[in-house]
Amino acid sequence: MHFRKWNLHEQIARGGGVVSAWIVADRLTKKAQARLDRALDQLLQLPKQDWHKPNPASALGNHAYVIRFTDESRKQWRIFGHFHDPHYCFVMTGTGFEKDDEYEPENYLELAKSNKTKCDEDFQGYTKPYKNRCNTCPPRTDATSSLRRK
Amino acid sequence: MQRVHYGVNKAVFQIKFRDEWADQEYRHAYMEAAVEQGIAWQIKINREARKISQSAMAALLGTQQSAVSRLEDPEYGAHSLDTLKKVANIFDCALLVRLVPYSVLAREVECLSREDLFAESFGVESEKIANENMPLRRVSYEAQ
Repeated sequence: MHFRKWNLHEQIARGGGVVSAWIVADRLTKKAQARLDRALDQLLQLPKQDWHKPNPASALGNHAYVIRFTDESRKQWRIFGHFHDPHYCFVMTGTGFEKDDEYEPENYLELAKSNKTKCDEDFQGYTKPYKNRCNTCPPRTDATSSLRRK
Repeated sequence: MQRVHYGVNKAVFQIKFRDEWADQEYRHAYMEAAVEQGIAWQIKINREARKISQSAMAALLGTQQSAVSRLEDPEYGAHSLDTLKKVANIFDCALLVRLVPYSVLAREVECLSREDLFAESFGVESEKIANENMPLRRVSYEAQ
């Protein structure tokens, strides 16, 4: 039997998605974006128990997970999030990077925990599909779609 | 003219082609990431499924365990064809390296589960084929 793909959402902050906005704000290169998207395409087809190295994700404890990818300069970018089982979904709630085995932001676990609480309280209000990678929510066709690359 | 085979999910094709892959630089980067990350995961999945440790795999490849660990690292991205052929021979599965249109990549992207990435060995496949084979029947016109 084939594994059912996870849906993928991102937390909404200031009207936009935290990851979509971060990609623009930190001027993530297209190569880095492609690496992230490919890693996500892989992870969404793996059960939770396979979200660990060498796959590009790990469980951090307390229901939090981290997704790893690098850019051309080998900067180690990180995305934090959690699973929201009722929507069969992984929700990306925060971003950062890793340097010398330390995560930035330092309080990533507290942030992940409080973001999870918010999302659990109002999933539809606090999250939105990431790049149409949700088979449950209707596809976005608006001009603000993060798929558009100027 | 070749037809586009959409596979299981036409909507995924439309999203990829209309939005994500419309940008050439991104499209090329995604394809490269697919090659680099895909082969790393496939080596790991197939090694584990065959219950071969990294050290044992290294011995079969004539290299160090750290080299096998690198081969399974999605960030490595420098697999040589020579090494991949050796890996395929260790797993006794085939290796396909070919140029394809992006529609084929779009289909591949939808098939990344453990089951999809597992490549059965020739021996196991042969056994299955032998067991499934019906005895060949002679076509007889006499009964008609």
